[in-house]
Amino acid sequence: MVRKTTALTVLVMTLFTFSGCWDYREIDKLPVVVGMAIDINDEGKHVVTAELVDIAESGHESAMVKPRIIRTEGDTLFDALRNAIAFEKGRIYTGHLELVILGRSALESRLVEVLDFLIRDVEARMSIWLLASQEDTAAELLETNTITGKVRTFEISQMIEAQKDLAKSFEMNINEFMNQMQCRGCSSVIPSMKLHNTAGTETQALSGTAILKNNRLSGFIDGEETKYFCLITDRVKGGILVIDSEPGKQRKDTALEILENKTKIKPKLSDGKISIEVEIKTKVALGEHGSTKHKYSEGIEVHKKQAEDLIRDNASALVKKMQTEFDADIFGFGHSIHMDYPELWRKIEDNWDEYFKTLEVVIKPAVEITESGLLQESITKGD
Amino acid sequence: MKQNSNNNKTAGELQKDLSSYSLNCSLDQNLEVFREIFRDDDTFSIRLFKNELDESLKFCLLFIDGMVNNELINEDIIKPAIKADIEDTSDDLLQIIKDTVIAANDVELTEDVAKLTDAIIRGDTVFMADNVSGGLIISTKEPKTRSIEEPTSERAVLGPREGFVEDLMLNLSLIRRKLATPDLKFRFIKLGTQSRTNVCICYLDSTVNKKILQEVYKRIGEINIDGILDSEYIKDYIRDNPFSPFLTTGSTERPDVVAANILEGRIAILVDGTPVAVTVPYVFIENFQSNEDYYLSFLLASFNRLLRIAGFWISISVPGVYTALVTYHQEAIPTPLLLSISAARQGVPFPTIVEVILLSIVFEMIRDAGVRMPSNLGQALSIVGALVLGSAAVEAKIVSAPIVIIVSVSAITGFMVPKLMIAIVCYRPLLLLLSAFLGLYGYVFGIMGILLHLCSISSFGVPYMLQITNLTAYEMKDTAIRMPQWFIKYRPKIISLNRVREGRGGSKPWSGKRQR
Repeated sequence: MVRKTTALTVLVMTLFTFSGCWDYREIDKLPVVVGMAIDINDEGKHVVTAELVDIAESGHESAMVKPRIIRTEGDTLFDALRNAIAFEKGRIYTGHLELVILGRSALESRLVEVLDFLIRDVEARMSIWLLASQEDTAAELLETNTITGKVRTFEISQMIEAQKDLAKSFEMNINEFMNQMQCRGCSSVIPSMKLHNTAGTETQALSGTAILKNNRLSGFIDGEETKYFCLITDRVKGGILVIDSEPGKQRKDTALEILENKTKIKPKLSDGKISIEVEIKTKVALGEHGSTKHKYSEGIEVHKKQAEDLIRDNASALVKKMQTEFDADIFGFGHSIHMDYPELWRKIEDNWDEYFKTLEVVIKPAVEITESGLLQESITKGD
Repeated sequence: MKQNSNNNKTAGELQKDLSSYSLNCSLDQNLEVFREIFRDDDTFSIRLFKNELDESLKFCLLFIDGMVNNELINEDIIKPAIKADIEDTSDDLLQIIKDTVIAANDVELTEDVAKLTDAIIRGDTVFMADNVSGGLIISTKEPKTRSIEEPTSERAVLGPREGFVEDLMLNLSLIRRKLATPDLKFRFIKLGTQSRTNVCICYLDSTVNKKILQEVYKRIGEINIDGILDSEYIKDYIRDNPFSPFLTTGSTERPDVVAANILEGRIAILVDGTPVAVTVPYVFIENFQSNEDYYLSFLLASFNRLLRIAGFWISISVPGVYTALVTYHQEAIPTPLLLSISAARQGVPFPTIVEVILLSIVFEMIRDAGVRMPSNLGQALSIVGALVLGSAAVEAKIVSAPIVIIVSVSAITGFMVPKLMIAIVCYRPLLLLLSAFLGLYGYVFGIMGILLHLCSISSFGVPYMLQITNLTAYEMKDTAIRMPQWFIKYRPKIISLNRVREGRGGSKPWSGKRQR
C-alpha cells in the first residue's frame, strides 16, 4: 500500500513537470493584438503599429469592443513587441493576430527577419493574412479608419475573404507564403492595399499585388492584372469578365460572371526546347448583356470567342510583363518544369532567370457559357 | 442489575433465550411465557374465550394489535371456535381445531416458542388451548401498504406505470405476473439480527449464470448487520469496488425493469420494506439505458441514448474545458468569442477557477436543498436560484455571465443521467482542478484516468465495460444505440451463459409483403 501510494505520488508529481502549457493567464488581462503594420524606419529599427482590442465598459449596457492603436519600436520585431510592455498592461498576446501589413521598407530589406518571428513564435497562428502596403508606410493603412469605423483588422479580414467574388485580389496567409518563398522556380506575391477615397472619406482598399523577386519587393501590378494572374495560377473562384459584345465595338458592354475555373500549367518539351502551355477552362454565366443586335442564342459563340480573346490577350500581356519588366516567375512555371521534367530542371535551374525571359508561353483559354440568368433572350425593342 | 444485562444482550443471545422457553399443558403458564417475552410491549394482546357448548374448552388468541385483520379473527377464528361442537378433547385437540374449525388458508401447528413469537411479530395470530401444549399459527396478516403507483424517480411517457411498494410479497407478485413461468425462482433469506428482514433473490433458472448466483449467495450470506431498512444496506455490502463512484449494482423501483433484467440472466434482490430492488451484475452501459428506450421507437430511443452518453461526458467536462481554454489556450477560442468572454470578465475580481468553483458549489447546494425541501417552498428556491444566482450575481460582478452558462449546461446534462450522479459529482471537480492547474493537458490526463478506472472495475465477475470495449456488431446492438427487438438475437455474454434469446428458428420482422 505504501509502495503504491509512493508510486502514485511520484507519477502525479511528474505530471506537473511534463506540462507543456504552464501559463495560467486571465483572459481579461491579455492585451489582444489583432492587426500589425510593420515598417523599418530610417535608423533601421522595426516600427510596429498594432491594433489592440479593448473592452469598453459602458454602464449597464453590454460591453463594446473598442480598437486601440499603439506604436512600438525595437531592433527586431520580437524586441519591438516586448518593448511595448513598458506602456501596456502586459505581454502583447499574438494568439489572435489576424493580419500583418508589411510596409515597403520591410518588404525591401527585412522580409525574412519579420516572417521568421511570426512563424517561430508559438502564439501566432499560421493563418495570419499578409498584405503589402502600396503607401509609403504600412502604418498609414492601419491608422486610417475603415468605412464603418469599427475594428479595422476585422474589417480588412472580411474584405480579403470577400475578394473571391471579385478576383482582383486573393488570399495569402503566412503558411502559404512560406511555402511560396521556399519554392524553387517561383517568385513570391503578396496582395497589396492602398488608401482609397470613397465619397470623400479616406479608407483602405485592396488593390493589386506586390511582386517579390528574391524576397525583395520589385514592384506592383494593378487589380485588373491581378485577375489574370489569378486565372493563370488557378486561384479564381469568382469575378467577372467584361467583354465587347461583338468584335471591334470598342465599348465593353457585356459582363460574364465566372462560376468555375480550372487552370492547368503544362510544360511541353519538343526538340530539347521547353515551352509552357496554360489551359484555362472557365465556366461563366451571362450576367449582363449590352447588345440589342444579337440575340443571346445567336451571339453565344461570338461572346465565347470574345471572352477567350480577352483572357488570352491580357494573360499573355501579363506574362510578357513579368518576363521583360520584373524578371519574376510569379506563376511558378519553373516549379511546373521541376515537377514534370526534373532532369531538365537540374540543368537549367541555375540560370532559370535567364531562361524565363525567353520562355515561350501559350495561353489556351476555353470559355463555356452555361447560363444566362432569368432571361433566355436579349431584351429587344418593341416597335 | 438484571435489567441492565438484559439490555446489553445481543440479538443472537435473544434468540437463544427464546429457545430456552418451552410450552407445557397449562394455558396460564404458557401465557405467562409470552407475557414475559412481550413485557413492556402494550401492543401485545391476549384474548381469552370459551366454547359455548363445552365451557371447559378454554381458548386464547395472541396477536399484536394493529397488525392483524380483526374481521378475519372475529369471523373465522373466534366465531367458529365458540360455536364448534367438539367432543374429543384429547391431546390432538389443536389438530382437530386446525382441521375442522378454523377457516383460514394458512394454519401451522407448532410447539416452537421462537417460531410462535416470530409469527406474532409479523402479524399472524397464535391460537392456544388449555390443557394442550403448542399453538396454531393462523395467517391473519393485514399488510397496510400504499397503492401501486408510478415511481416518481423513474417516470416514463409510454409503457407500464406500476412501481414497487414496500410490501415484499406484493412486489414479488408484480414480477410473477410479468414472467408467468415456473422457471422464475424466488429464494428467501432473512437478514438483520434485529430487523429479521425478508430478502428475496429472484432469477430465471434457465438463463442465470450459476457462478454469479453462487457469488450473490456467498456475499449476501456474509452480511452481518443488525437491521436492513433499505436495499442500499445490502448494496453497500455486496458491491464490487465499493469506493468507486461508478455503481456496480443497479437499482430500480419498476417491476418491468426487474423483469427485463431477469430475462437477460441477471439476478434481482428484493428487500421487504422498500420499493427499491437491486439488480446484479450491473455494467456501465446500463447507466444510460432507460426502460422507456424499449417502449419507444428504436430510432428515438437510440437518439435519446446517444444524447445521454454525450450528456454524461459534457457534464463532467464542460467546467474543466472552459477553464482550460480561457486560462491556457486562448488561441483556441474564436476571436469574437474571446472578446465577449473578455468583456464579460471585466470587473470580476476573482480568477476564473474561483468563479467556477463558487458557482458549482452553490449549484450543488441548491440541488441538495431541492430534494428534501417541502414542496410548498419550491417557488422560493427557484426564485432565489434564478434571480439571486442567475442575474444578480452577474450584475454585481461576482461571477461572469459565461460561468453561469457553463455551470447550467453542466447541471442540465448531469440530470440526463441520474444513475451516474455520483460519478458526475466526483469527477466534475476533479477534471476542473486538473484543467485549472495543467490546462487541456491535465484534462486529457483526467479523462484517461477515468477510462482506465472504468476498464479496471467489474461487477460480480462481469467487466464493467462489457459490450463497449469490443467493437463487434452483435454486442453493439443494445449499447449506444438500440436496435429493433428482432435484431437483438443474443443475451449479453458472461451475464448469461444461455445466450440465444428467442426460440428455435429465429425471429424475423414482418416482411411487409402481402400474402397471396
